[in-house]
Amino acid sequence: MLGLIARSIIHRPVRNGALILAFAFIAASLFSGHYLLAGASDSVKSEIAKLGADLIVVPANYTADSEAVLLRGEPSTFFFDNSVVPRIRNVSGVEQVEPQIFIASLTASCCSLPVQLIAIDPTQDFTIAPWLEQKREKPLGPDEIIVGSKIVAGGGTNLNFFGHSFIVAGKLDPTGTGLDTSIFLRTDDAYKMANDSQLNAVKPLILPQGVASAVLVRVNDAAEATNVSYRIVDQVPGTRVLTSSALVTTVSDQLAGITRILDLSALVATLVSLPLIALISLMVANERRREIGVLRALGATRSMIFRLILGESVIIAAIGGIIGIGASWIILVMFQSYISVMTRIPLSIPAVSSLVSISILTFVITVAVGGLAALYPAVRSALMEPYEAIRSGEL
Amino acid sequence: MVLDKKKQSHIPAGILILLGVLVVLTPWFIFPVCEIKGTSDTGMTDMNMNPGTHMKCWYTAEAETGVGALIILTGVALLALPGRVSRKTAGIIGGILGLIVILVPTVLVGVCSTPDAPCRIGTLPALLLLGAVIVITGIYLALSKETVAAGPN
Repeated sequence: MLGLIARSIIHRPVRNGALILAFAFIAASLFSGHYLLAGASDSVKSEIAKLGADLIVVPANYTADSEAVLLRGEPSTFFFDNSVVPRIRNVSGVEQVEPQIFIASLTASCCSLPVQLIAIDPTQDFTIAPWLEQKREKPLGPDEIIVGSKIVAGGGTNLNFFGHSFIVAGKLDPTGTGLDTSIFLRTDDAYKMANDSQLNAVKPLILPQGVASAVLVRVNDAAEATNVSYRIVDQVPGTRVLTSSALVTTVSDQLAGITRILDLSALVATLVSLPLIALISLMVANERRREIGVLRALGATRSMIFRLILGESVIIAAIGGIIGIGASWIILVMFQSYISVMTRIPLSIPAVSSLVSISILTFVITVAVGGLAALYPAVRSALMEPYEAIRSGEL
Repeated sequence: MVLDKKKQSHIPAGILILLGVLVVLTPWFIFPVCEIKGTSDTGMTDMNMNPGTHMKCWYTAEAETGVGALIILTGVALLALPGRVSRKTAGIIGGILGLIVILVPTVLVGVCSTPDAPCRIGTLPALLLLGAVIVITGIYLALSKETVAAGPN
């Protein structure tokens, strides 16, 4: 049976090639939309996980800026009074807090564009410390910095910010988010840098004492994170809490347009190709009346004929589906950074489990479309009487 | 329907010409390389560059224009002289040129090292993809038999 189907497919290379392309297009549109969505949300989740925090508390009037820093690495400088830190620590359910200061650099020798400097307090830090331990590095020393993966500077390189010289002590792994273009330094060094900038920098850095830009919070019970975030907003006025799920929602909303277009094009392609494929299958079945008649005369059952016609369409759809999924997979991985920069959305390669489920879902839908289109021609061919079929096929 | 000798060469020749045109257009128009005000190989801005010099990716773009032109020429030659020997020769030459399309931005010349540079995130993957398709087309041409019977369409 399979041999018969294979020969029949090879026998009509141009028509079947076109059908395979149509199915490949449907599969590629479906796969791409869901790949982008999964890649973006995985990327955001990995960012929060990399920061080691459950919640990030930011000044209420700088929510958009903080999202831009975290998601896209768009440098920004903003503060609130760090008197909020002990108040956040006192909120029930909070286990650990870490204040960070965000400073946008001036154009530096390492980088063509300003980068985000993030000042951390090594005594309270839980963001960089675990990473340093994992890499068996010493704690961050005076004037030492840790750079994101996209900063072109190796270990031991000197980098100058606001007229203050730093030594690169290590490089973070890529995350596909704003962390990749960030530089971590000690809060003490940030204040020294601000002092030096009065003399050495083109534009001095004004860094008031007792400020923080964001407070990273670890909660006792991760399941309680949302309730803790409500309590923080309630008890510490002027703050806004960013959670992993809220950031994922922000990114999903940004991506909604693109995924909708891709899903819509898959739907349009399906709606257009469904009757077209049905028509082509019907034409083929009509052309093959004689062949079907002979097969029936030789003892082929109605169900065999039905499976023959249906099988051909399903196999063509399956080949198209595999080509579509494979091609879009290769293109999306190769152009990942390009898509990320163009759409200004953090993107990483989705987890294997989500990739497999997206691929299977796309494949099943594509094959189902193929099967659906061939259903009527298959039934019609199966119901044909052998004598009638041979006779009408001769005409 | 059996495709005659001429028609058998028409399709791959057309594909070669199209791919050659894409190789020429990609680094300038489709996925343009870094502009002079962009980031250079060292990540420095062009302030530090001598006037008249270009970044690495610029030379890649120039080299790819030449290679693309040769691929177009191979396609045109195959179109003008269809036949078994021509197909094989065009296949081998096309395959080698496809490899060069891949090697220019990766080994022979390279692109800027800044991770987010336009030439690295756009031009490089596009050229790799085009190069791979050209190599596959070349292999197909070099190995395919002359008379493949095609059924009714």
